[in-house]
Amino acid sequence: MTQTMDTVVSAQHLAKQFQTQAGSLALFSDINLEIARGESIAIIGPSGTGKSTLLSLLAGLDQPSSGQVRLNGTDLNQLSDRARAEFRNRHISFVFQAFHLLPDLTAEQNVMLPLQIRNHKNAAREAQEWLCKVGLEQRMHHKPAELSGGEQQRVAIARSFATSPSLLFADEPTGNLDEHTGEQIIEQLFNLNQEQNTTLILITHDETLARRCQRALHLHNGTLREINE
Amino acid sequence: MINSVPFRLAVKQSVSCLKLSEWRALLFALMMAITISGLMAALGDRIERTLMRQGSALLGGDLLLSHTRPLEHRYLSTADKLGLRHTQVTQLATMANHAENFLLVTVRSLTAPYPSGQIELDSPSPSPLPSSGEAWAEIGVYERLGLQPGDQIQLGNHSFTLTRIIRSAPDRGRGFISFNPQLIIPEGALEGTGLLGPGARMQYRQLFAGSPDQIKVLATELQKTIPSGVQLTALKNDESQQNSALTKSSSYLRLSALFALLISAMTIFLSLRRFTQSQFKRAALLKSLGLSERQLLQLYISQLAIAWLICSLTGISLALVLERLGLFLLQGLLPQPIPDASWFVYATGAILGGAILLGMGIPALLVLQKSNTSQLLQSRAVRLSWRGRLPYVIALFTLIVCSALYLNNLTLTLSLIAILLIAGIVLGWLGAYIASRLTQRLAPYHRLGHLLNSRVIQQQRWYRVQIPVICLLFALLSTNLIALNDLLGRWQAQLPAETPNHFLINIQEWERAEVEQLLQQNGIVSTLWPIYRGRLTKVNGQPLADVLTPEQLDQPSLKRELNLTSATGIPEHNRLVAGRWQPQGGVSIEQKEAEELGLEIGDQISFDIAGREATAEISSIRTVRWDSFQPNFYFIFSPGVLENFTPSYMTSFHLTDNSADVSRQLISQFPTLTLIDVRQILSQLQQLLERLSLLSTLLMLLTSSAGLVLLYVTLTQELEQRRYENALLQTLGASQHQCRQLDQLEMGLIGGLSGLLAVVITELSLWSVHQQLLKLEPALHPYLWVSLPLIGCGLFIAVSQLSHRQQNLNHSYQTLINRI
Ligand SMILES: Nc1ncnc2c1ncn2[C@@H]1O[C@H](COP(=O)(O)OP(=O)(O)OP(=O)(O)O)[C@@H](O)[C@H]1O
Ligand SMILES: [Mg+2]
Repeated sequence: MTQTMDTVVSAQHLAKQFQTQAGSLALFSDINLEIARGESIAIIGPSGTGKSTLLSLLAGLDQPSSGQVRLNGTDLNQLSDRARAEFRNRHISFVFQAFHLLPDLTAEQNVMLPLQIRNHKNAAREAQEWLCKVGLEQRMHHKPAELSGGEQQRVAIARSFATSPSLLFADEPTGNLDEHTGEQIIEQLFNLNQEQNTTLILITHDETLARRCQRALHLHNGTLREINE
Repeated sequence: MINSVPFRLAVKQSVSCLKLSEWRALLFALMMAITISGLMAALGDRIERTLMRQGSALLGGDLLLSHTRPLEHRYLSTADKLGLRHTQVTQLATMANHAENFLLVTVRSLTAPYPSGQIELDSPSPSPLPSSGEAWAEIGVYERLGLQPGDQIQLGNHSFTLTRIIRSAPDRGRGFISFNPQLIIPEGALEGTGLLGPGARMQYRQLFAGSPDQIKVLATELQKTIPSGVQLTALKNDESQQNSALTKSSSYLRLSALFALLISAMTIFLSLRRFTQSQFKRAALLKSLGLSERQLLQLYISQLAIAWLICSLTGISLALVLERLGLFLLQGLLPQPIPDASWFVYATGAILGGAILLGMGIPALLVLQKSNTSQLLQSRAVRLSWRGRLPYVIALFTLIVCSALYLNNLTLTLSLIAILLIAGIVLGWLGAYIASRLTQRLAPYHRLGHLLNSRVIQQQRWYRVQIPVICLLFALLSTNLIALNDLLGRWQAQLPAETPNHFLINIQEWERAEVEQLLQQNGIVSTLWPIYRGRLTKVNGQPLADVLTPEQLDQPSLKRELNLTSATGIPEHNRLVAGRWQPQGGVSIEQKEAEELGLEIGDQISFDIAGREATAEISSIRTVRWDSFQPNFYFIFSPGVLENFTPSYMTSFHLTDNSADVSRQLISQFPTLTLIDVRQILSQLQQLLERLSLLSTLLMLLTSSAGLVLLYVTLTQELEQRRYENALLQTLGASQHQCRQLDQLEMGLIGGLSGLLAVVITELSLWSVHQQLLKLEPALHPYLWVSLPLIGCGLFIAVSQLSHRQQNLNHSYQTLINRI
């Protein structure tokens, strides 16, 4: 397979199995995937098929049993812990189903976290800008407990875009939200995605949501298949 | 059968829970609480009983009269009429001598055996008291002078044959004089020794025993007739005993043990909270499997009961071992034999531990019982709600009740707990505040500075518990150690090299010239002070009772005979603050004494000296340096006033270590003199303090281990939270290394801060201890300012390293997606 300049994610012959007490559990054995810059991709599939696991492999959070993942042409597994962390901080962001905001920090402080990790000089101003962009200028100094679910997810989105990532992984970002709020969040996510030219990899159960993406992939019984309209 | 189901489950659970750190911490803390309270109760009880000697057998009678002058015979006749048993004791602290070896001893002679209590000897004696020419002595006399039964011992002019070893005897006295080894000689033998001149340290006692009613009658009778100055001691209401130095130190030990107890209680509370949290799901599961709420409660109560039983057994055994160690440390300081403590005392630890467990545990169990099966169906991991105040209120109440029982003093307990609570809240708030301000300020100077600041903001609640606990623990430990050390060290440093270290008392008029000569020959510079023993009886011609307030009448200086002197020159360590020095017929009074008795220049004061009256006008007021180790006097008369009274003389001087020869010469030439070697007394006191400090170190070790467990528990309580935080940071792009560094920075900061705050508290409390209790010049302790923060830093980093091993990245994401 040739690798063009604009391939951001390239996975080859990915396999993952877990050693459990009941024996070894193979989730998938040969997954191949190429994602171009700026693309938006949805991964759908039944529960337990390994979507989250695949995501963590693609994001370099976990090592595959065999096979290779390259992000922006770099094989993360070749890097040291520190370099890999730095790469993640520079290029990758996540949005989770459960938001994962630290409860005792304000919205602003939560958004500042990834910037502080890279020791950004103007973390506070940057964070404020992003919170304004997601429409939370009134909520900067509120703690997560004082925010609604949708607002919390918007803080998480601000946090994920604050580092200007080239790759955004979202694992069921609307799973904890009602339909209406979920739609608003998705709207925001896609808008920012376009504006920032970020590559979006989205896990979802929602077929309509999957259709909004440029490509949709179905993970089932260990194989990843492209869904065509 | 149904009943046994919860119990069997409980047995299984107690074992399987051992893999939970909170269960282990609970067991350990409970055991500590039981050990400490049991140990303190037993040790305290035995020490107090030894020291107080409240038993009539130890006192020698049910009622006793004591005085520094011979007591009148009519008291004995009164007792005879009432049909009471009695004896009369003459006692003297003096030098015993054998082959030029000298020893300060207490000598007693009795007119009859003690009315209650036995003199126990190594071998039976045909007569109840030593017969003529014989003396019985405690083992200390034999050991320190290298004697055997059958040897001779010299007291004053007289020599006695030692025939028996006294194993124990009643009427040993208390306080420091009771540390002197004791001798009993036959009735009247003391008179022959020539030791009884004016100025001798005599004690005359009459002891009575009989039925409580008889004693009551006698006591009321005596109270009416005894002159002031004669002390009446009834068996129960002996207040002076409560104030004895050792009783004080035993309550001091008790107090410091209280802190260990509180720490253990807190550990129990926190680990129970965590335990119920970890059991919440299991409880719901058991319920869904058909266990009733009642059975569930039974199950967990049984489990706590099993824990209590095991901890009681181990805790009491440990207490027994430590008690041995404690008594071993106090050996030789406490008059033997030490009475056994009753079994109940040992059980108090277990009872107290049980009470704490109940108070802390029941509210937790009630929450557990409320677990709901429907929670199993929800994917959300249910967090147990402890929002209600009830558990805290019950826990606090339990603590107060337990501490009050332990200290046997409600006001003390309440004020202590209030102080601790307030100090804890203030310290927690202050510590958390400083931590966040400090990290905010320093953030730009370290790569992780801003992250650290976020972390500190995130963890405020935890700091508010952690910082005060460790801070107070540190402060307590260091205050204790330093106060005792300072007492030992600085006291000695305070004495200039030439400070007199010998007192020579009981020098009679006819010996005076020769003693002076002998001292001069040996190059010893000293002044011989005439001593008259007298009691203040009148002010401006009126009896004291008419002119003084009840508080003033209560002054200790009015209750005993004072050493009075007369002099032409003002003693060098005295300073005149008012009046004129020694006009004809004048007397100079010490400033404090004048203030306390409300006496002023121009007042006429009269003394009763050996039954006769001497009157003088206060002509000057002086200050005195009491710690100068010179003879010091409240009253110094101008020479003419006491002309017609016979004094004895005393002096003090400094002897170097290799001038033991002088003391030998003195004693052999003047056998009736008493030479008091201050060094001996100081070293005895020092020994006592050293042993006490060892004992308190033992307690401090227990306290620190309780504190370490608490630290461990609170750190692991936060473990989940920290795991989660680190996982999140890692997905946000922090490396494992950075997370570890962040943890260490945070722990170091909090540990160091706790240490620093502890230093402040330590210095503050040492300041007041030094001023109020030790009467030492307060000073800062620079090494503390370095060592405590460092120790805090190291300790926190070490314990956090122990309690949470770093997780790797693979698990981070898992942690995040599994935590919903
Ligand atoms: N570390 C692990 N050890 C053992 N098994 C694991 C591990 N991680 C995941 N699994 C198993 O792999 C399977 C796939 O998990 P994964 O979370 O990727 O599923 P998913 O497709 O995201 O499901 P869902 O839609 O419910 O989120 C599950 O059966 C899970 O139990
Ligand atoms: Mg998933």
